[in-house]
Amino acid sequence: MMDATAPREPEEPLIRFERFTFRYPPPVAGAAPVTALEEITLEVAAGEFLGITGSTGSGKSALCLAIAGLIPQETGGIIGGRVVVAGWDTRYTPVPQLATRVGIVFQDPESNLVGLSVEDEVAFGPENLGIPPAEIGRRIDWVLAVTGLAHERLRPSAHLSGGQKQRLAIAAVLAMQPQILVLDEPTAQLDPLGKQDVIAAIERLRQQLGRRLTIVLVESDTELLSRFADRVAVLHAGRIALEGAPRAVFSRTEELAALGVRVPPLAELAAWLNRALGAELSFLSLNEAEAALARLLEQRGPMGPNDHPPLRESREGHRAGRTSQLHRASAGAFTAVSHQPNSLVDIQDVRYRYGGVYPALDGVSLRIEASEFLALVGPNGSGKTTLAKHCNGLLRPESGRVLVDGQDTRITRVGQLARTVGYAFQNPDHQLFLPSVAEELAYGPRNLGLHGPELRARVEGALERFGLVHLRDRHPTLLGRGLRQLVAIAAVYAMSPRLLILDEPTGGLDGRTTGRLMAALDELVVEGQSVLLITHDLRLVAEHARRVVLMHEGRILGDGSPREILTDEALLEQAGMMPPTIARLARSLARYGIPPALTVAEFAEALLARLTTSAPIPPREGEPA
Amino acid sequence: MSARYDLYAPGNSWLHRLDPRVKLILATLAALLVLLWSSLPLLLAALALAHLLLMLARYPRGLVAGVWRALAPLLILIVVLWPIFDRRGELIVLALGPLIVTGEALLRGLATALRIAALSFTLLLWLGTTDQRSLVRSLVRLGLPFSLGMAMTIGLRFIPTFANVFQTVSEALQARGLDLPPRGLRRLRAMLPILVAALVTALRMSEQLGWTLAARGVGAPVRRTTLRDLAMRPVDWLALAAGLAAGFALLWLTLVEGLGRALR
Repeated sequence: MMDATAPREPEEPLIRFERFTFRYPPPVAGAAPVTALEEITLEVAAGEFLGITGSTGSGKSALCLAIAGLIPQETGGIIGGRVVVAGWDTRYTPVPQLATRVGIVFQDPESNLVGLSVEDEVAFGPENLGIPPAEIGRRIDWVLAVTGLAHERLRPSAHLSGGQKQRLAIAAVLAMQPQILVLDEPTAQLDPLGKQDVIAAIERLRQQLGRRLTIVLVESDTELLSRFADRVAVLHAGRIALEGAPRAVFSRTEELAALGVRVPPLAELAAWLNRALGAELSFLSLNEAEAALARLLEQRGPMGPNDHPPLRESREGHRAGRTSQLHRASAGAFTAVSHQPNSLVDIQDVRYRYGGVYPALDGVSLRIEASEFLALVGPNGSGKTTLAKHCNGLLRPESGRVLVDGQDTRITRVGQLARTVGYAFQNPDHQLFLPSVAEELAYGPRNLGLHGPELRARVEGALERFGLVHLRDRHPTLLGRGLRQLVAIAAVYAMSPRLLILDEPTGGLDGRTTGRLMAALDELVVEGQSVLLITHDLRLVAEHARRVVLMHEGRILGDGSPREILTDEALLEQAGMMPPTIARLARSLARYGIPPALTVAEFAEALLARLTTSAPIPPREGEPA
Repeated sequence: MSARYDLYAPGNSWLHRLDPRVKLILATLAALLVLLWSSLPLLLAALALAHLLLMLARYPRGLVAGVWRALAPLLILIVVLWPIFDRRGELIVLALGPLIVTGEALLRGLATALRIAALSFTLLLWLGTTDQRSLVRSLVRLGLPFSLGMAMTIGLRFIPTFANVFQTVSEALQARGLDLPPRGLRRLRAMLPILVAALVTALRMSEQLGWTLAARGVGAPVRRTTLRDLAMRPVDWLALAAGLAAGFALLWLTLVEGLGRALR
């Protein structure tokens, strides 16, 4: 893999940022340039796995572009200092030449590919570099094997899933045999399955190439970074705010939160326990956490027989309670609700096929009432978005019917239904087209016939709720991705819908913006509006939703409280999903009497209670007494 | 879920394997003949032959039906409107005030519709069995600059993507109360915001794509290689020779002897 001709000394770092500053060209003529990176000094050794994280707009992507030389060569803008990659100054080395040392993969699967068949896509880079065809053939074999795409060799890339496309993008740059692989949030737009596949490919790469490949991975999913990285750097406002080994960086949970970074749940748990117990716990992986906490529980728990029965009871009681609750949920839907005049949304045995051919919904029934916080989860292609689009009439059922506040969607216009149901799409760029944030927010209410003080009040309310007041006159399309997302959601919120649907709203958001959004949604539900959240982020679901609907292959697989659905490993597995980290940890410690838990707070409290009440450890099932 | 915009059906039939340059040359010749002919029986024969070849190449029937569905409105329009504007011919089939329909005009309309259908399916023989890479490669080998060929590839690939973007943007704005009138100038005006948002998205995507191309070595100062270049096999030469012989014979008969120039 390694190219011995690399023009550098063996000890020299492979990537070196020397007080590197970059400012984007001003978005509109006459405005000030936008600072992306400020005085970055950073060295990456050959073979290192460097993780980068930070809030949106902190400069993570700019750092990637700078390593590949795309900054400044393709972007323009003002630079100071320099970046040296494999001995080459990126200011003067053309990008195609740098491409022989640096491979880069972007977040959006669509923009990573030229659009050929899998094999030709991989061949494209080496062909441009003038590699002999026989050698290209050998490289294709290897990169397709390592990314798990060998059996897709002749398929058109357009027919691949998002996860496959990202693996193909990785394969395509690997075929150019770079020494450095730069991955800019490669899994941010993928469902859990696609994400796992990409992670598995990175793992295989690490196994097969070891230190011969240097990897720079940008991720907002810090859990992933804590698993892979040798070293982590946290960016903030274009500077490196924190840097060090993952264990050291992720233990500084308060600083991370202040920097707008989502703290990995296990690190958050460790910090919580350390505060409460004065301990010095630190764990990055599930195995580590399980081992450490098991030791703690075994040490602390002096065993007495008197605590035994309540524990059993609580475990069994939980199980019994769950079945009865599930039962209630399905039976109660008819008895209790049918007395009420109208459900907010009433979906009755809906079937739908795209183009009349491809089945998407296969007999789905669902009622949404006022003041619900409902999360819709499931793998890509399970029918989540299709179902959501039935709630506001964008799609109309082939059979069955959908009533929105009693109105049949088949005979009501989308514009009319928009009074009741608001729908914020996944990509904010699909919604924003007006020259200021305030005008963007006024668009929807104005379409509903509002004007004058009433309209202004709506706009002000939305600006405040989402913390956008200071951005009122800014041009939405020139804001960062996270803020564009908030504007798009606020624009739908301003219409004051009784049900607000959000399709994957947190994909491009950092910890702080996600927190702000979720807090706003929680408030809405308290005020009596309903929220339907489509997401892959089970941690968010665990912390905020009150009801979870799990979809798989166009059907509803489960419908219940977050506790019922998210701790049901077998149920989730049917949909190719796993319980959230904390739920898995709680389960693995169940033999110590830890009850099922979903959130860090819940788990920590249960664990602390366990440690202080000094309860006994019941024998493990199937274990000889 | 995106609709299909490409006509190519992957396969490994003799027609798929035939060198794309041969396919391009023979399809062009066939298209020329079809354009010259007015004879209903000949056009019908050409159409039937095209379908027979597609069948032999195991081209999916669903896609053939799709092409017919797409062509149907145009073909029907031609058959209906042609006789209204064409007053040639003696035999009057219908006379309703100023509206006179002659038998010959009816047949001419039919022939024009058939010509368009035959032309479409002749081209389908080429486009339906040639993947994008071979298509571009054949054009490059026939003299098109590589950069133009690549631009074509990318252009083709982004048609469905942009169609999807447009669709999504339109849905997103309808969900915000945008009322799209069913037709007419008012609909076009109402679609303006959709165009703006779709354009912004398209620009963002194309910027990223530019980066991807540079990072994949496009523009490297070396001679580009090709994983699998086109190579004429003996059977390709044979097909070319036979096709050209038949094609030119028909062309000679058409131009000199007047084959197929009359309606019947």
